Parts: sequence; C-alpha cells; structure tokens
Amino acid sequence: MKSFNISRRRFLKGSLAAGAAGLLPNLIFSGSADAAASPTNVVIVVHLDGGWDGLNTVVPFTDPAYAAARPTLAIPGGDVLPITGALGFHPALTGLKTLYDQGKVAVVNGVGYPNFNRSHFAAEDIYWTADPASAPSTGWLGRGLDVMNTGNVMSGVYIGSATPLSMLGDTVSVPAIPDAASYTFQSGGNAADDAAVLSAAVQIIDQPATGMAMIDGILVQDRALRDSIGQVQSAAAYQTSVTYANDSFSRSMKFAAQLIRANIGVRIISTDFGSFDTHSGQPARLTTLLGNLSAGIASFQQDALVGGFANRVTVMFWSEFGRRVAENASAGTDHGASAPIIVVGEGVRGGVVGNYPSLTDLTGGDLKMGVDFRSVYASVLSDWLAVNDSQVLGASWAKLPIFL
Amino acid sequence: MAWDLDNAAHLLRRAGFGGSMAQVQQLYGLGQEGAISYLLNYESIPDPAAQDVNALGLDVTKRNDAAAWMLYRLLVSTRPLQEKLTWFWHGHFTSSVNDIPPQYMIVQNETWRANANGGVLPFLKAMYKDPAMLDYLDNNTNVASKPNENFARELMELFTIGIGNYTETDVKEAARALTGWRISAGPPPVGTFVVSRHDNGNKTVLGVTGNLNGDSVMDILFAHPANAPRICTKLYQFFVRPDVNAGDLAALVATWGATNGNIKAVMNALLHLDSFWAADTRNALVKSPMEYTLGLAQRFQLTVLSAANLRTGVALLNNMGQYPFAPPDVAGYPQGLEWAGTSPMLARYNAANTILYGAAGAVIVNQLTQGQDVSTAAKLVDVLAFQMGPLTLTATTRQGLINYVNAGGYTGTAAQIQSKTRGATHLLVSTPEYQAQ
Repeated sequence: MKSFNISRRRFLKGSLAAGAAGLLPNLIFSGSADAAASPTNVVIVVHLDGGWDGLNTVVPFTDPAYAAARPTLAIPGGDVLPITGALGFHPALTGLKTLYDQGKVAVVNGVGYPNFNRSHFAAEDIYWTADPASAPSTGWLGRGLDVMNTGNVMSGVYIGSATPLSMLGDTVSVPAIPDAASYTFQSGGNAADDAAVLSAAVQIIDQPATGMAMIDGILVQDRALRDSIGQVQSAAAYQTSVTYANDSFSRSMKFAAQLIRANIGVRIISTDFGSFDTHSGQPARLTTLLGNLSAGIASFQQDALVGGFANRVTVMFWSEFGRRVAENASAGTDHGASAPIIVVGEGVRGGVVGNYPSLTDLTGGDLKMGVDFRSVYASVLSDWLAVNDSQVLGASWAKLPIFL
Repeated sequence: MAWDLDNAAHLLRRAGFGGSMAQVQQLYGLGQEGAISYLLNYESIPDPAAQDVNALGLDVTKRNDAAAWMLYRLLVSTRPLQEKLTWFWHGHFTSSVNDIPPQYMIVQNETWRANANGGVLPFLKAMYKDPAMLDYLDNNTNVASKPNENFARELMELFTIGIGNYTETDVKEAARALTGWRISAGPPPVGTFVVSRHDNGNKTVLGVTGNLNGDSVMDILFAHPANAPRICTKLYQFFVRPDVNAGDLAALVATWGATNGNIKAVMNALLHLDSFWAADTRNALVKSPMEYTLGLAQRFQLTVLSAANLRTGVALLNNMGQYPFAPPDVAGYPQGLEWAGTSPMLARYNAANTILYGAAGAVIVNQLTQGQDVSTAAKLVDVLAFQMGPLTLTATTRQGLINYVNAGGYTGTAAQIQSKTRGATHLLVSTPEYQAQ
C-alpha cells in the first residue's frame, strides 16, 4: 500500500485527537490530499434496494395498457413530468426533471438480463457480480478497482455499514463508512496511555498472516481502517454551502461530495437507498422515496458545481429488478423483471436510451428486457472510468451512447 | 479429546454467548456429556429473566425498548442454548421492527423461544400465523380475489426448501393456499383466519393437489426432501463452521429423519460431531455484534441492568451494524467476514472502550484481576487473555499488549492495575483473535 506511512500517521493523530477531546474529528485537519492521487473521473453507484417500480418512475403515460394494468396505481398523464411525448417522470422527481431538461440525465429503458430471477438475493448477486453463470466471489466494481490498481485504500468507498458483493475485489479492500462522525478510533485513558494503546494497536494489526482465514480477514479490514480514518476525517471537515435534506440518501450524497472534493483518489463510491420493495401501500412510499432521491441528486449536482468537480462525477441508479406490470390487491406491486437504469452527470449524454418495453407483450406478467445490464456497466467502465471493461466483465459488451 | 476448560469455553461460546468464567468452570465440572446435556435440556432450569424483564419499565411499543427487552432476555437468561437458538431462529424466520409494530416482535420472539428446541413442523405452523410474520411479508393482505405472493416466495426460498426446488407456479399456488389470514391487533396481537378471504379452489403445490390451506403448505414443505438438508446446513453453519462436509450433514439429516424434525435431537447430534470440537473450528466463525456484545457483558458480569443500560447496549449494537429485531433484509443477518467491514469493526472497538471507561469500569477491572497475580506486564496480559477466553494470542499480539502495559513503567500498583487493565482489555477485545470464535 503506497500511502502506508502517511496513513498510519493520520490514524494515530486522528485517534489521539479523538481521545483527548473526548470525541471527534475537527482537530485532524492536518493532512493534505494524497499527492499521488489525481482528479480523474468518479462514479457513484446507487442501489435502489428492494426492486423499484420502473413503470411508475418512468411512466409510459400515453399507453392505454398502462392505465388498464394499474387501475388504482396508475399515475394520470396530467400528473407526470413529461420527458418525451410518451414518457414522463413520477411527479415526485421534480429535481431530476430539471436535470433532465438541462441534458444531464440518461434514462436507459428496459434493462435486464435473460431469464430473470425474482429473488431479491439472487437478483442482487447477478447485478453485483455481473456474472450469473459462475457466481464469482467478487463484484464488478471491486474488479474495476482491481484493474485500476491505484494502491490507494480510498479508491473505492462504500457508504453504509457492510460492503456489498459488488465492491469486493481480489486485491482491494473497500472501507465501509456509514458516516464520518463515527469513523474514529476512541481510547478513553489519558493522553500518554492512549498513545501507548495506539502504538500497540498498530503493532498488532501489522502482524503477518496467521493462516486462519477469519483472523487474517479481520487483519485486512483493520489495516484498511487504519489507512482510511485520517483521510475520511479531513475530507468530512469541509462544510458545503449547499443545503441537503436530512434523509439517508441526501446524507450519503453529501458525504460522497465531501470525499470527492477532498481529492484523495476516490474513483468508485457505492451506496444504497430504499426499501423500494413496495408490495403494499405503494403510492405514499414511492412518492417519499422518489422525492428523497430527486432532492438528493439535485443538491449533489449543485454541490458538485460549487465544489468544482461536477465535470468528473457521474451518478448511476439501478435496482435488482422492476415490478410486475399488474398491481396487486394491497395497493402494491410484486417482484418483476426489467427496469430502467438512470445515469446523471455533466458528462452524460442526456436523453432516452433503448425502447420502452411493451406493456402487452409480457413474460409471466413482467416487462421484457431490451438492454443487457452489462452493456450499461461496460459503458460506465470504458467510457467514463477509462477501465478495460472486458477485463472486468470477462466479455465484451456493446457500449451504449450514455456519455458525451 | 481431553475435556478441559478450553473445550467448556468453546461449548458455551457456541451453545450460548460465552457466559461468565464461573459458568465456564461450572460446565467444565459437569464433564463433556454432562455439559452438553445441561445445555440441551434446559426446560427444567428456572429462568427468572422471563419475569424480571417486566420490572424494567420498558415500553415495548417503542422500538428501542423492544430491542432492549430482547437484549435483556438473551443476556440474563439461565438457559444459554435456548437463547442462542432463539437468536438463530430470529435470523431464520425473519421479520423486522423497521416495518411492523415493535410489540409484534415481542410476540414473535416468544414464539421462537417456545419452539426453539421442538419440532420443525409445529414451528412452521406457528410461524405463518404469527402476527409479525403476517405483517412483515404481507400475508395479512393476501386474499382470494388478489393473492400477494411475498410470503409464499420467501417461505420457499428462505424458510424451507431453498431456491431451485420450486417453480414460479408453486409460488403462485402456495400464495393462494395461504390466503385468508389477518391480524387482530390485541393486545396481544394474534393471527386470525377469515374464511371469506380464503381461496377455496384447488391448488397444486410441488405436485400435491387439493383445496390446500396454510397448514397443508407447511406439511408439503416440511416433508420436501430439500428441507431437512437446508435447515441442518444452516444450523451447522451457525453453530459449527461455514463449510459443512457431506458426512456431518448426512448425520444431522438422519437424526432429523429419525425424530421427525426434532430440533433438540439435531442439536444433540451437532454438539457431538467431531468437527464441532476440531481445533480449526475454534476460529472458524466471526462473532456477530450480538455475540461480541453479549460476550463482553456476560464475561464482565454486567447483568444487573437498568432500562437505560439496555438502551445504551442497543445503540452500541446499532453502531456495529446489528440493530436487534432489524435484520438487514428477509435473508437474516450476515455471517463470517461479512461482519468485518471497517466501520462495524471500528464500532466494536469503540463500544468496548465505552464500556471499559464507563461507570462499570472499576468493577470490571476488579472482577478480572482480583485474586490474580498481575505483578508484571506479561502476567497481567496472560490473566486477561485467560479471563476473556481462554484466548490464544499470536506471539505478536501478546507482545504488543505487553508493550502497552509496560509503556510508562508497570510495577503492579493498584492505580496501574486500574488504568492498564482497562487499556489492555480494550486492546485485547479489539484483536483479530477475539473477533473470531
């Protein structure tokens, strides 16, 4: 690990400051950014957890089959926010609509893969690994980080508690960080004693592998922790002038902006938001979720402009499946198949990609796929992150016109 | 295998949450067979926690207090295996307090506890009528006119036979058979069957055709050949190690078959497997946050607890990524290194710091060191490694701890014992060795 010594020092400083002050991180604003990291493109991959209702998100409001399939849940054409003559956003997506009108949003329709799996977990694994057949123990983003091989522990960050399969690589270890405030090692003794605690901790986590898989796995995490604490604390010291809402999605996006602005070599951030598993009571739930999504992405884009990094960040929204065309009896929708992927950013070629799936030519009541999700991945890897996509995906997939 | 204190401690970590050193000594005194039998046949042991929890002043209609309620039961119980199994079944028959009223989770928790050691079939028949489950997976809105297949799918995929053993048609048909259940809010909340909401037509589930209802779906799934191996594998992975070998699985499934799916009999067979006692099984699992937290509290003997103490425990668990009663999704809690993200591990180390430097710190220090020879740094470290395990440390870890104790000079004065025991214990329970079990 390239930044080993610097990081260790930051770990010690950060932790000492935390111990001495009783808590927290403002004292640690000592480090400049890793000198070797250069501003390059960044992607934020947002998992809309639970399977989102693409049909009520990107609404085919002129299709009579839509209203017929959704007698209570259909959104009237007068309420949608039209993006084409036939498609409109859910009324809660006002911020996203503004960005769309500015040419910063690509809507990729009908994304999926052959032979849909309607289990949340199996479907997530498919999207995370991008390899339904062999089910590897690494994910597409983790392998992307492997190929980048930056040697920087901050090159990938998961905003949340437990790093998902999508971010697991063969060589990288991605820190999982729910928020910056809690991301500091606390030690409760006096200053001299705390210094001795940290010195011993460093000695312990620098020890050679033991040959016991669980213990060695934890050692790897401990070292990633040591290498990331100081950088996270200095990044999060920046207070933006942009106002964010206080839901979990906006908090995650605000933190992501701090990490990117700090120029510490972050290339891939992932997080998740939901649950979009709207089996019942869908109208109110979807309105809240999409309202949060829209406000969060709008604030983030503004923050990126203010912070001067808008031209090098793209945000991608995906979900493990869409939902069934016909509504159920609980004012909800059950697990379906294809769904849109939405990509947002200054570098995005705004517009609609791919045909909207037919609402009458269905498979088992579900929308058919038009675009394989690996084509979206390949475009992000190749056309945005400048990573060899076939090396990551194990095959060459056709690129889509998502980026400028 | 020679029966010794290490083995007794291993047994109590797996068939419980670690317990106090006095409990480890008690199990050791019973011998291996005696210890297994004592843990398994817990029904005759009085469990005052069941009543005492009511005196804490918790309002279980609030989620933090419902979680505190469960934490108290798990922590203070006199029946380690009952609580460990109850916790296992929470991760299996999942519901989440994020989606349903907290008091429903208390009812469900008692259903897990009551069935923890009994027959799997009556357990299944109790679970689908459970109000928390009806609410969480929407079976309370599954009606003849429009079935909701959420529960039927998870029942097959996660609670019984597993993916690959049923078709989409089986899910749809089972959903029809499971129609008709609603929740009477109570208190106490109960599942009730409403005939007019039930689909009385013929359905075919996994090749069985008839006017099937919920009980018949459970009969079909219970008897399906994929069910016993799947549940036995899950028990093995939770109690023993992640890699189950074919011989051990066959032994557990045979016991299941001979006892019509009796959990106590399967657990008895499991606790007698050679692989349960194998040396490399000792570090094959990662402690979950609940195991970590209860392990500390039991070993520190923090069992006289107020509602406020318990709420603090809930908050610490939440930081570690395991809010009690809120599994991340319907597949239950993570396992193994899935717990070992940077942030959840950091939250553990910080939780131990909070406990050791909190109000109970001095009592913990006395309890760990009283009557022990801690006159040198090496002796203090070895005493603490014994008291918190017995724990086998790598040479590097042991030396790191000794260096810490010696920093600033250590001669074993009362003041040094107070400060260095806290710091060394904080470091010790932050080592990779302590996270494994």
